[in-house]
Amino acid sequence: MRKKSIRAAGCVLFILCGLLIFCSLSNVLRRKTAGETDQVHSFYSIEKNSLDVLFLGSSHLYYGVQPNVLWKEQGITSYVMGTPEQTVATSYYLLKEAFRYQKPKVVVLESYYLWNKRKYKSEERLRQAFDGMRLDSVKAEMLEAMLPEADWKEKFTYLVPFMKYHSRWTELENEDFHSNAFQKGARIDYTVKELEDPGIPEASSVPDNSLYYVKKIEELCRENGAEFLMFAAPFGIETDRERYDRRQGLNLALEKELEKDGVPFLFYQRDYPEVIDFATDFRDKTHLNTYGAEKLTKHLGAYLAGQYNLTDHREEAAYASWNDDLVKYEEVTAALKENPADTAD
Amino acid sequence: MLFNSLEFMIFFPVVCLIYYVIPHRVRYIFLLACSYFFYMCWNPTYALLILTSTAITYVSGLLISSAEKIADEGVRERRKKWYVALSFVSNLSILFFFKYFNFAADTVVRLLQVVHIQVQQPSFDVILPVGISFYTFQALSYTVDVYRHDIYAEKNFLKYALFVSFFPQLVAGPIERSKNLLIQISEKHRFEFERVREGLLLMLYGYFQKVVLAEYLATAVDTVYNTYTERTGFQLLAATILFAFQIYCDFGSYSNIAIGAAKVMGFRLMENFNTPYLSRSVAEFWRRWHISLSGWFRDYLYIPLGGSRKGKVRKWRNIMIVFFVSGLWHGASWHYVLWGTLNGVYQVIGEWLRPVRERVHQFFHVDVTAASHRLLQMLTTFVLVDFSWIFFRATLRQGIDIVKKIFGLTGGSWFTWGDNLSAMGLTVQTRNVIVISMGVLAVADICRYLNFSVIKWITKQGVWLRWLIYYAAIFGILIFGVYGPGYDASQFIYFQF
Repeated sequence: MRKKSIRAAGCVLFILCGLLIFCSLSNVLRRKTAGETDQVHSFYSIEKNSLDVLFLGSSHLYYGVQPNVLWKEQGITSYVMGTPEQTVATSYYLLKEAFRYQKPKVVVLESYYLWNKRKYKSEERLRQAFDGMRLDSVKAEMLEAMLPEADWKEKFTYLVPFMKYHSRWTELENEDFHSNAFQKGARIDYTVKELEDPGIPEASSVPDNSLYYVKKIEELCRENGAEFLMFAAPFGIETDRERYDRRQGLNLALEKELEKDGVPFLFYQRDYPEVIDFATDFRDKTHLNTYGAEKLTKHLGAYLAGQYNLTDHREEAAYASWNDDLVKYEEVTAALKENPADTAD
Repeated sequence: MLFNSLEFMIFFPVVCLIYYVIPHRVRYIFLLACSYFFYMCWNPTYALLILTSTAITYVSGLLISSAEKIADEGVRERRKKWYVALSFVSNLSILFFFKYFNFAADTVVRLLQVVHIQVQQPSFDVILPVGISFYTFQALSYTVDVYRHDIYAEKNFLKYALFVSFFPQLVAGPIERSKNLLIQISEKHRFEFERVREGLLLMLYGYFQKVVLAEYLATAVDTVYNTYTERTGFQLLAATILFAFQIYCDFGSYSNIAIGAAKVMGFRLMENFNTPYLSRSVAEFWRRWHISLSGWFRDYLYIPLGGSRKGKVRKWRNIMIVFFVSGLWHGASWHYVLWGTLNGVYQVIGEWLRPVRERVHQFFHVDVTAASHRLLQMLTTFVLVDFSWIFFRATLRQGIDIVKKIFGLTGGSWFTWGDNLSAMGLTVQTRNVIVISMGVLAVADICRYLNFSVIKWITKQGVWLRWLIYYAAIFGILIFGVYGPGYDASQFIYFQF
């Protein structure tokens, strides 16, 4: 009998250790969204209930906002829950996940990707949102909402990313072992692309599906006692004028919609043209570089501090790690400013 | 459901768990249900075929055993032979229809074309039911075993049906004998830790063979063989050598997983591959390769044909018949027949030349027991067997072209400097995996050849080493294995938006 219990305990221990190894390996092999930043996943490294502001959005967000700058300027803690081509539907579920761990006072959504009316752009983009998420009920709910038609085997590969990424052993890099959680979801890039401000076109429209999820986000914020705010980061013409007009014009239509619900909207390109200099602050035709991000974040930080009752945590001992991260951020950015090519993709 | 599918990863543990929880008297019914479920995952209608074969052979067993009661020996033997013949004809007809009809029709049409008769070829759009060759042979062996008094006719239809459909070995062998497997169905199997562990380890080794080694080798072999016209002789030779190991790992893995899975549940299946590439003659190779099939042909075809008892010429004829049929069993195509026949020819010539070989040995004072001589024999056997594999992998015409290229008979350069590795669809990393895995395979096979059980050795080690080996094996397979939806880095690279 004693031998049997020892054996049984041994089996349980073996399985538990195995699961532990599996999770660690899975984490190493998982493709890190936005390389060194490891978006979404590094969110979990933030101490529970310590966030003041949560940002959601696509690349326009994670190239346009730097949480470390917000901390430096205002002592506000924030995280950029951005993923490539993040649709509003994706933002909604990521916010739901975030509320499980944090009680942000303000939730901020960047508006660019509202142009896409689908629930997700492509399999890869969907995986980039999923991969970093912990396996929990929100992930399962998101999966059901995003891929209702998929068979269980395909769904399994979203829940257990190891299935998809185990063959990445051939291409592991340093950042697979050490992700830069101090960047808090934002990317750093000092490439400079000279642009001209294309100006503000006529109003276009917001796709119904995007608007539907914006409303759902509003509701979710209300339920969780968070304020909701939207903003539009500036961008230039990427392919053609027509597409630019459509996507930029969307912000005008959106503004009207948000007004109805009393949601504030910061339209940078129209209302605060002095913040961003098109000649120096872009990394490519549509994304701010980190020079631009620092300026935009400073402005946004002043707005947040002025409009909402947010505490300055800079002197609080419990937030010391935010100061450490800022030091790291400044070291890294100082080095990268010297060699902007290192930051380019 | 394949062994290397996600479904099986869920199916098998669940089946085992329930199997050990439910009472002994209903276990065989449960396993039967599971086996049919397992089979019907491919196509539910296939179950009717296996059920038909089961019913025919079951009834044949009962009829043969009832015929035993007939007093008159002549009538009795005639009656029994009748039943055996009925069982064989009906089962082989089903097999013929599903597996060989289109092949036979095509062959007849071609033959008629030779004598200038044009015929519209009748064609049936039937999909080959998975494992039909395996379970048909298994079911037929029962009829003969009852006829030969090797086993009593089974009265419980469900037990007999489980014998034919037992899921671990249903679709890819080992082809079991009723005198081994059928009697185990009534045994009471307890959960024995050591046995279960050994079973699981054998399965793990099977998965390593299949998911890691066979899959990587297949990459190289497929890359070269699929574009053989553009390949150098060297690349084709390399691919042909790799194919020998690919097919060994592929076939062998299924058997190991089957034997291991059965062992976990307390069943002892027969061994199917015993270090075939360490054989010193082609005849020995066939005693070590797909043993359950070779044994089937020996017991139910070669011996009934007279075996080796009726003189050399009859023996050689019988060998040729067996290997001709064996070729056909492997696939309904002439290149399989050529492959089988070639293996028969090797053995006939081998025996025919035996006096010559002995003379040569005497003349040169060759010590046939020396290690170097045995190594030479193994190497020669491998070369012969591997040569025949060309016609297993490629069609007749392709095979002939490939042989010409390998022997440098086509002109063009036999070997070119350059990146042969990537030309064969490999990278430095995948090559390293293949080299290390082949090392593991070699060590495992040599230990087995020397009657040293690696699995028993592992289970005797201290806990730290044991667990280290288990984890290394499990995670080695999980990481390096080829499975899942696949990952293409280039799809993810563009993450600006």
